[in-house]
Amino acid sequence: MPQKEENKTAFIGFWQGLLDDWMAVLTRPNIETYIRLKERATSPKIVLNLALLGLVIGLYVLTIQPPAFIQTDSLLLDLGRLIFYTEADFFILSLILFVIAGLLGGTGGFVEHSYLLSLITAPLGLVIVAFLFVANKLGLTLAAIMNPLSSIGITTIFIVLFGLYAFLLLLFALEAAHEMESHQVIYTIGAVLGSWGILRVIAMFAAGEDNIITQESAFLAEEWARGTLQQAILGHLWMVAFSVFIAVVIGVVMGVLITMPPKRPSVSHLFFLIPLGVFFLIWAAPKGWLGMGIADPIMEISDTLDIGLTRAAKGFFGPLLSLLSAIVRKPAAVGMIGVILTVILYALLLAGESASELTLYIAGIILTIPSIALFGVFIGPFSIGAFNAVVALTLYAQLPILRNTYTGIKEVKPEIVEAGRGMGMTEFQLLRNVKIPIATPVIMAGVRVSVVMLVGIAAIASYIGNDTLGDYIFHGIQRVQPLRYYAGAITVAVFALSMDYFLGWLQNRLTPEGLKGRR
Amino acid sequence: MEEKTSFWSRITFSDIVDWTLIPILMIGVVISVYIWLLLPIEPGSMEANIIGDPVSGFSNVWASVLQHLKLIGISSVLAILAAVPAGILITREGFRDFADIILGVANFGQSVPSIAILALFMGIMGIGAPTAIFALWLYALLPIVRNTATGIDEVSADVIEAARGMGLTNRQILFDIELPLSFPVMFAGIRTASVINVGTAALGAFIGAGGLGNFIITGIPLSRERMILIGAILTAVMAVMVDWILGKIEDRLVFRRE
Amino acid sequence: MIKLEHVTKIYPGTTSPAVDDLSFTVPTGEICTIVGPSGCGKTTTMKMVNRLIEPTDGEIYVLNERGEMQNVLEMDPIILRRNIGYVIQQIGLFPHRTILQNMGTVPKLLEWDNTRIRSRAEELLDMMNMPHEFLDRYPHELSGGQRQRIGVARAMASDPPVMLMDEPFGAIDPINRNLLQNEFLRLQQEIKKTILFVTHDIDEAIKMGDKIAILNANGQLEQYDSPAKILSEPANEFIEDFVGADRTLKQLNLIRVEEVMDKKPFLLQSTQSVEEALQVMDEEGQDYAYVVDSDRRLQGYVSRKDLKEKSGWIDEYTTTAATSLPITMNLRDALSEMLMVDYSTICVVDNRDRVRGTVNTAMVQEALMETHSSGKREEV
Ligand SMILES: Nc1ncnc2c1ncn2[C@@H]1O[C@H](COP(=O)(O)OP(=O)(O)O)[C@@H](O)[C@H]1O
Ligand SMILES: [Mg+2]
Repeated sequence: MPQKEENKTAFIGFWQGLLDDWMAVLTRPNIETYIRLKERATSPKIVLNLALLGLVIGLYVLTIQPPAFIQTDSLLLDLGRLIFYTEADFFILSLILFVIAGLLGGTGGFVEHSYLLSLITAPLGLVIVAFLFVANKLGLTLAAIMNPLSSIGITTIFIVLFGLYAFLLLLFALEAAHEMESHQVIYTIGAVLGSWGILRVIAMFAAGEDNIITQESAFLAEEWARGTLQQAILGHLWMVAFSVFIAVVIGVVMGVLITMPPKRPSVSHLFFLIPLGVFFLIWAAPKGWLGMGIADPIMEISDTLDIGLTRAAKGFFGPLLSLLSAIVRKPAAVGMIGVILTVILYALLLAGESASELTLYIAGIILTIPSIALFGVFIGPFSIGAFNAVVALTLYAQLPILRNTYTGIKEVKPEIVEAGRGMGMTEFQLLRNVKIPIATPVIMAGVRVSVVMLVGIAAIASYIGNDTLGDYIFHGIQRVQPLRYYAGAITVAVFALSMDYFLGWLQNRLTPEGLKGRR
Repeated sequence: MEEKTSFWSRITFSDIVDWTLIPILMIGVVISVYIWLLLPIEPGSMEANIIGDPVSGFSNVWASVLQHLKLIGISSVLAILAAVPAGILITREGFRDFADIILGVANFGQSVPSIAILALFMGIMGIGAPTAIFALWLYALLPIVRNTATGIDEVSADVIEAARGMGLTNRQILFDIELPLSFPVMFAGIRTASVINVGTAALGAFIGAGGLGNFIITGIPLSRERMILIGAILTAVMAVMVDWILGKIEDRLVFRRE
Repeated sequence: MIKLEHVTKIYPGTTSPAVDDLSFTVPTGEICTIVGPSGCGKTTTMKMVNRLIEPTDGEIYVLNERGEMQNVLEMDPIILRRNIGYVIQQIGLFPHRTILQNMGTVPKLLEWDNTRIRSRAEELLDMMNMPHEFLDRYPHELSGGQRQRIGVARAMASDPPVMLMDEPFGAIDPINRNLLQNEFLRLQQEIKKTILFVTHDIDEAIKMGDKIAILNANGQLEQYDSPAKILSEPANEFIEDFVGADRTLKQLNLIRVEEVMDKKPFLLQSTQSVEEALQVMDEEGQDYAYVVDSDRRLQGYVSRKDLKEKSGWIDEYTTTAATSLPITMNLRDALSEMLMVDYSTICVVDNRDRVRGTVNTAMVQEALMETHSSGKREEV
């Protein structure tokens, strides 16, 4: 019968159209496609899309995971319930997105908006169900699959890529439905996620149960009341600050030296080399050498420091004093490092620019050595404690500073240097008044990298006997106290981020005005 | 036309130094470790229990090296698989506006010290290698995403316009023009990420992921200097070698491009 | 005075000299331009004077404030450089310092106090016709031409008797370059520095130089003479080639309007009545006449058409003149100005805007014929 034929083709055409729309959404994701699809939006289509998804979800859940999901006697009723849930969830979410998009200047209608979202949700949902089904057949439990962290490999990649893709489609759908700017789309999604997060937290507290946030804050408050948290923060702060301070001095000097022309050694150099050598020798001399030896008075100083230290132990400068005392207590090591440093600096003074490549190369290699390994290697000569930590931290910190000082100075335009030289500036004046000020932003960027890096390494230094925020992490791990290691991780992270922020601000402050407005 | 010269005649002294210095140095270090640190271990001692002894072979050392390589290998490969598409994505039209936000978040994440990341995820996922691999993976994402995006962004607009003018589709432009041209920068990101991973993987021992870090963190409380040195030196050698090998591959790729 | 004696420079690692046995003397208060093809050693020559480059051989003397010739090779280079102004093509202003601090660089090195530095900087800005607000700006807040002026001002800050300028206007667009050149020439009239001026542009060399030194590609001096001599009597083929076929036109650069203008021009007083003016114009057979006030300052011009059948004073009918020529302008620039405004006659004014004469195209042509006949025979 012709009537029925026509109905039949219309029927097939309808399903084909639906499938076409799905395929278009998935395979040609761009604004034009979505704007074109928007024209075909009708409410029944939305309901149908979701009903299909709900049906598949329902079938999957009921066949694979029955016990928990069967609530009535009739499977059909359960299926209907699951379909209804799917629809309801979708419309609630869609409505929230719609309202927020509207508040942020979206112009689309609810039907168009929902239609585009349903076109994304339904096929992507089907893909997820199919994935879960296959995984299930392979013997993976739902919990294992849904937890992106538990079984690495395929699941992780799938979820990350899939999530990114879904996110991308969502952006396009919103942009097309409401003819918004990209940033409005981002704000819309951000607002939804943000309010969801806030509601979630409020709900957590409203429920009145203990949760990670209340427990963690209670733990931190307790530590603060005892004064141990402050000590750890101060220990961390001073260790980083002290090392960075030394590293800036050495790093900048070395960075500057390797930009200078080579020099001939001259007798006059002995006037500072010999006294320096004698100084370090005396410094390093063990008891009994050179008469009484310098070690004794140093130890005395250190002892007085220690006495002052116990008094000031809880004070702001306490950790600094204990650092100094630890350094003073190793005269031989200090002397040795002093001699090595003098030799290196003098060699760089002579070699100047010709040593730049080698220096930067070695610096690069040292930077690849993992911090825990370096601490380990230094246990031999320096044993554990603050001295070891300060040496390792300083060594790390000066490398970005050295590198950035070098690049910063090298990047000063040659004509600027020539103008200065041509006007009769001495090399030192050129350096102080021209090269270093112009290189300051780059040098500060190096300092910033160093400090953020050191905050992390100082935490690890806790393992070789230093009181830093790392104590919380390591003790927490040892004693299996999640609250404790969370406290460590969070405070270290906050510390690093705030240092990064602060140094960003400082970098901006120290950049000469005239260099800011350019570009 | 280019004159045909023999392969050997094109090798200069500095090439030889460049290619052999680091490996020879590192092999020397490893041999020294073997002779001065491993061989003198007395069978039956506590160290022998953990490290192994000359009689039974040093299976634990070998296993730790392999475990370390496994940690960094899996995490780096997964990071590449996730980060390269992500990096490409944020350079696509209609997505560029989001690039700053995404890179900003990633940058923020990178400032969080690795030990903190490890501790945080240990709380969520428990101890063991998967946690370490996940943390390493997360940590390796930023350098790769950033460099992929920068590399593609740096491809000159003229080249792309020329390609478009010749009738290449967007996909052809991506695969035939943008990706090949941005490859060196992208690869530099992969190199950075991998080298950082070697160091972070050593910290993985704290959360029970094994690897060379194990020797260090067991050695420190026991004051076994030998054990510490074996772990520390081998980790350092591995970091230097990973950097060197990837650096050589990088040179190759950059060279080919020119 | 700057004196080079058999100066040679051989860069390490090269065998042929970049500058080969160069000898010439720049008289006090004059500009000597060094010109030659790219890479011929102009910059090298210049930098040897303030010892940014050490000569391999030869002596260089500079007249100091006490009137003695001093061998620069025996001086402390730092002190030497502080007493020689130095301008380079890329300007090299310090981006992190304000204009005041930039101009105060050498005075600061010479330990002047701040008030003196400031007043000197203001003086220099006045000289350069730039507003004092610029003092607290940064270089990136100025245009290219302004930056170059500051570059020149900075070099003059401590009032050094000798200046070295390496293609100072090279990176500036032609219109601004011309402006800067004219400004600088006017300035030089007042300051009378001894200047070594490097350029690769022969036109600029002719325009700026009291003397020109032309080097060949091997860093040898081909001719050292006044621009007029170089144009009229090129020493050899190299010079002839280098100077170019339009030598005669170039000579216009060397003639000032002052030299060719009609010094007793036909002028009307703004206080004259219309009838009177018409009558005088009839007598002289002129359709247009320039009008001046009692101080001979230019008011504008009147035409017979405008005055016809009018009455009253002529200043009611005066139209402002589109342009006038400064008395120091060279004929080449004057000619292009004339062609631009399409006036047959233009007033020549001094720096107080008083009319000193008039020129017309016929006078320029005449001058051209004269130089032409004195130079080599050539089609014009
Ligand atoms: N520092 C240097 N080392 C070696 N050769 C140089 C150096 N500076 C300039 N030269 C060479 O000396 C010659 C003259 O250079 P220069 O004086 O800069 O030429 P210009 O006349 O263009 O200013 C050129 O051939 C140049 O290549
Ligand atoms: Mg030059």
